[in-house]
Amino acid sequence: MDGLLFLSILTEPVCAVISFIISYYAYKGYRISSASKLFLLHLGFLLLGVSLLLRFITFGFLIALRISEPLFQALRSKVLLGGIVFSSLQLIAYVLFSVSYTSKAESFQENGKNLAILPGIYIIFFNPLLELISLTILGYVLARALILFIYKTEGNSLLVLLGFTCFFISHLFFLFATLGEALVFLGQMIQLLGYIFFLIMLTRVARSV
Amino acid sequence: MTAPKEYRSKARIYFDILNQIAEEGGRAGPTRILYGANLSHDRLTKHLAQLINLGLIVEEKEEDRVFYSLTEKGMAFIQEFRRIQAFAKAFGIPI
Repeated sequence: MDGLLFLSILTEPVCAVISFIISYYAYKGYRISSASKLFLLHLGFLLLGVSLLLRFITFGFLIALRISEPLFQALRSKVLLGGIVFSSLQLIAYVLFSVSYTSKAESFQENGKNLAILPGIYIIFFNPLLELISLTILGYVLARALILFIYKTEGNSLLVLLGFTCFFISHLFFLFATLGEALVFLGQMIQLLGYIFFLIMLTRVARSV
Repeated sequence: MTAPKEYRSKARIYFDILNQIAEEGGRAGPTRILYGANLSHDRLTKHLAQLINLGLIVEEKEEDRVFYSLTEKGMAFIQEFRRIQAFAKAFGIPI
């Protein structure tokens, strides 16, 4: 399997774990403060994490099946549906953010002919229309994060702004995923960078007292 | 014209009371807390009783005076609340 695609897939569980950590922290905040917006944030990151993990597991399952071209054609509609489900979960997560704002490595040496179609399957997970909607909602979230940073000029707000900026740029790459897997790879790497910004913010918060 | 009153959640009021006691060195009388946490006497009495029940503060009597001291649980609550506040602030969420 192509190295770029392999790396792209590997970033998904990492991003999912970071997403779950942020979700847990937001939930803890909600339990203490009863602030409903923190609950929405918790739900949003939970859905993002589930979406990333599901895509990773589904794709891993398809690899495990040693999927062939005829089988892929038979499963195509189901894979397409899966892609819509994952993207929809992300969309719901972004809507929640907008409201809340005031792979496992296997041996790919054998069956190389069958595995040649894997990039095609992976790219199907990125539905252009849903990516476009994601971009629109994230654009709104980004604008709110920017306004917040301008008013507060605080380090943690900047990290959140950078995180959402990376999400926005990654979806821009995913929108054109059909043009080549290199774009998916770039998108995944930028998405990972976004999660790292969120993780840095969490670390700063945890050390702030 | 006066500015509209800012809504404070129960947790926020608890934090303001505990934080006021912490600022007084971990032990404070009701008058100090009352002014620091910006509460009426009735509401303060009610909240102090709840904080005692939760084990966040203890009441100490010295002659005819009453003091309230932070417990370890109370200190831990203040620290956790500050972290949550910083986290929420980064997303522009007021708590």
